[in-house]
Amino acid sequence: MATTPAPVSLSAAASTVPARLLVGRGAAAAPVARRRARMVVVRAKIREIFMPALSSTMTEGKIVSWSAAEGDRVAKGDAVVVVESDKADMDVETFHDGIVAAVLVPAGESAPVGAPIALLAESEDDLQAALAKAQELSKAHPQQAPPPSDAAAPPPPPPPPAAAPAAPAPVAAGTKGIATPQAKKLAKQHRVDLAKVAGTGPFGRITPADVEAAAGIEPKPKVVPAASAAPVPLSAPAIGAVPQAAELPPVPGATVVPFTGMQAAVSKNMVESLAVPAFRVGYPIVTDKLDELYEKVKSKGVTMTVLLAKAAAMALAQHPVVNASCRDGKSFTYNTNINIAVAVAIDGGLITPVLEDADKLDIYLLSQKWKELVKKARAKQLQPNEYSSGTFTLSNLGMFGVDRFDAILPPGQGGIMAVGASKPTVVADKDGFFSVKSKMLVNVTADHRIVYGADLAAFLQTFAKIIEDPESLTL
Amino acid sequence: MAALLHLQSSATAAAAPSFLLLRRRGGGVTAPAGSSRRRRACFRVEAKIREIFMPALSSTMTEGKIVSWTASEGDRLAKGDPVVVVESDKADMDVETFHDGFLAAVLVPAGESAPVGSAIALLAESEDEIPAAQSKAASLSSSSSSSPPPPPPQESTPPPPPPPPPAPVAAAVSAPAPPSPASQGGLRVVASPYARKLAKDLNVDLNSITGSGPGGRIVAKDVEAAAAAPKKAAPVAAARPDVPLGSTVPFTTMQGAVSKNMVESLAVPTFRVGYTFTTDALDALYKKIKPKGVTMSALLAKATAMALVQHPVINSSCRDGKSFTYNSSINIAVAVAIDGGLITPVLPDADKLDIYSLSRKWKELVDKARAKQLQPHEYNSGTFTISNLGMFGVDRFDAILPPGTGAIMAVGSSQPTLVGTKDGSIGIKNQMQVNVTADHRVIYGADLAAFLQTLSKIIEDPKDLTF
Repeated sequence: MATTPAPVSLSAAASTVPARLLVGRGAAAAPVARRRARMVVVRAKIREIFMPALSSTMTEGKIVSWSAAEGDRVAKGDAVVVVESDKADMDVETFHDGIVAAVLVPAGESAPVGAPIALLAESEDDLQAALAKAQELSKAHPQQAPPPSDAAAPPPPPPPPAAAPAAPAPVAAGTKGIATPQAKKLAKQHRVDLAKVAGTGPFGRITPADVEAAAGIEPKPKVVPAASAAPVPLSAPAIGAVPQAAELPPVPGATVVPFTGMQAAVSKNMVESLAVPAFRVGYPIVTDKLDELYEKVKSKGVTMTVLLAKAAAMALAQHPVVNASCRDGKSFTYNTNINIAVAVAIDGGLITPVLEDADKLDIYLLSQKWKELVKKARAKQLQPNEYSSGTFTLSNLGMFGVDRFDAILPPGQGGIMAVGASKPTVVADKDGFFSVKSKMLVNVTADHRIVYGADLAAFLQTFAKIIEDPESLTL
Repeated sequence: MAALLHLQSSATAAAAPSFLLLRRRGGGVTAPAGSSRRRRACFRVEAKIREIFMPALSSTMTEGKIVSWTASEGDRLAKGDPVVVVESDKADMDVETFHDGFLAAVLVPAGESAPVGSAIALLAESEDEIPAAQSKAASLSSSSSSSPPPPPPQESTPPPPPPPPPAPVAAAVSAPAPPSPASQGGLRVVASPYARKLAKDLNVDLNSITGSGPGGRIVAKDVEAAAAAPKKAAPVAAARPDVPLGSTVPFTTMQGAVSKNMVESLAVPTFRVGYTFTTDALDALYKKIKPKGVTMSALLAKATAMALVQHPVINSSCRDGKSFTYNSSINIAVAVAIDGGLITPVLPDADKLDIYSLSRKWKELVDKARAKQLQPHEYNSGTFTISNLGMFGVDRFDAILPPGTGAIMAVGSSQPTLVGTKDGSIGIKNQMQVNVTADHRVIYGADLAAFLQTLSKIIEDPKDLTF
């Protein structure tokens, strides 16, 4: 194969900027603008591919498989690796053209978010330098899982150019871009200037801890209260408030199966729920008219799940406090959108695809959307925003003939509705007559820091009225 | 004040083969692990004095309370004889001696507690060693009295050893016959340790009491009677059938264990699924086989075990927060309220045994539970628990998930219920509501709902229960 090295010129030279990874198939990420400083000396174009943060709670990822092999030429946007996040397996794309020079973390192993997992050479001429760098990295981190805070040997600084306009400019330009995606996100949230942060990660990279330290130390009085008020903006309060589950001795003869990434995420969420004071309100709802409506619209692809989600969304529009959440223990967060998450059991796990803006869309569009989401969920291809943006959750076990149940409130939400089966039930009216009606029992679990008993009861009364007179669902 | 008397019936010397095998022990109260002891060859003859240690009757036991001494000081014991009754956190257990010898000294009297692994008595190999053992006991008590621990002994002072496998214990069959010539002679007072303690507390002279215990031994009742008779101090020995209001009553060991388990459950995220079963067919089957000794508990356990076979994740548990532990056997624990406590006897391999064997096993277990004689593996090996309050007419309830298991089923009573059908007709069926609480780290809603659906089919068509 013929090699065509680029002609050497001052204007074409670029500093070594780490590659950015595009998450998911077809998802568009904003391109990162890069500054190019003029340098006299031409340096090898070797980029690192980092472990991406596929969700706000992800701290490390497991590599399921490599789509590209060492030596493969990849184009910008090509999928190079499949990473198991805590919710789904994700394809990770490369941001640049090049040749996969070295795989640093093989399939089956895990690496922290922000750690390099592969090296990308711009051309075949740079392969040797990349391999040498890979060996250097493996010597620095023999366990192949370097801690983010470990300071590895810094790369040699570029020699100062004779005709450089400003001596410190290249160093500052280089420092600004070297940060993990999580650190960049945190910096944006806390309004921290990355140029002023000293990185403690590998090769002087700025890590999330550095950004948090910078935000905490910030002397400006306007920023300090905000930083202290929301130290962990998206997670539930620390679970230290509840007793830790004791590690019990193993059972002789038993088979131990470790959690998958998804199962570990479910378990973690369930344990976090222990820190939230929750209460439950149950409500019986007659569903004869809803069942009739379902028979009419069934042929048009509308599912019972969608009808329930639409009804819940309409009731939430009238009771916004049940759609709110409490994230810091000190305030209500009223959500602008009503996003109904629906619990779905898939093979080996549990996931909650989200019907966004369920109060605004009609049931036919919602049903199309739901069908897409379920298909993606079963194929483990949901995007993070498609399963973590719920403001209220619906869980339905009616298909099993369950009377009633209570579901665990997911962290960061105000309520979850558990729907039982609709069964023919003998009903007595005020006049003393018996009749048989289909009735289901719903049970809502809510966060008592923001939702009070009367709020939830009023919401359920509204929900029951909508279900028992479901014509408004089709509007 | 007990006079030393050589028993007329025993004159045998120590066994010759073990003459040269001697054991040297340091001073002070040490807690050697289990019953392992090092023996070193030595030319100097040393007395054969062994210690009897507080056994670890379960993996969670850290200290035990001595209920009563079966043997008394001076008794000759054979290997395997029960010497003491210890209250563990689940039941009272008889503890046997591993060696022959004479019970030379009781270090911890009845009613007091001692940490697991600490010495509770001294065993002399022959009568010649009894004085040496008693002097050793005196030195032990003096060294322990030099730094007296508070009434609940500090568990950090004697660090409890890693729990050894529980000592083999057997149900008490016979009480050893004490030497009647001694009491008849009147030179040595034969009394139980508790009676001695009571006599000291109540200022009663043991020499003036006639014993009513086995072989004429003076027991606690005799001392109380003697104390009450002359001084007319009957209120001193007030029994406690009713708890006086306004007082604080400490937990018994069993109650402490229940409380600890309930608090531990706070760290487990749980959810509940309720289900209604129609029990007309089950009730009819129960009527048929009830004369053969089958109980409703056994029927429910059998049905549950059959459903668990099809849904093994409900039989699993989460022990480290990071994995499923799938149990290899299905052991149904059934909650039983007994006098002053709560215990869960376990029907092991309930999916494999027939309903009649299960019922016989259940009867055995309940008898043992009420007599406080369950073995540890008979109450702590459950993989799924059933709690039934139906006999009280309870509609429905939810039960707290015991640590180390994945699910517990709360069973309400079966009651005639007005039922409608899809075509609008109305009838009456016997229905009961069950409510299962499960660990959401390993069991998801659909798993539990599917299990209950299966269980519903088994209960509503129960002919498979008799196979």
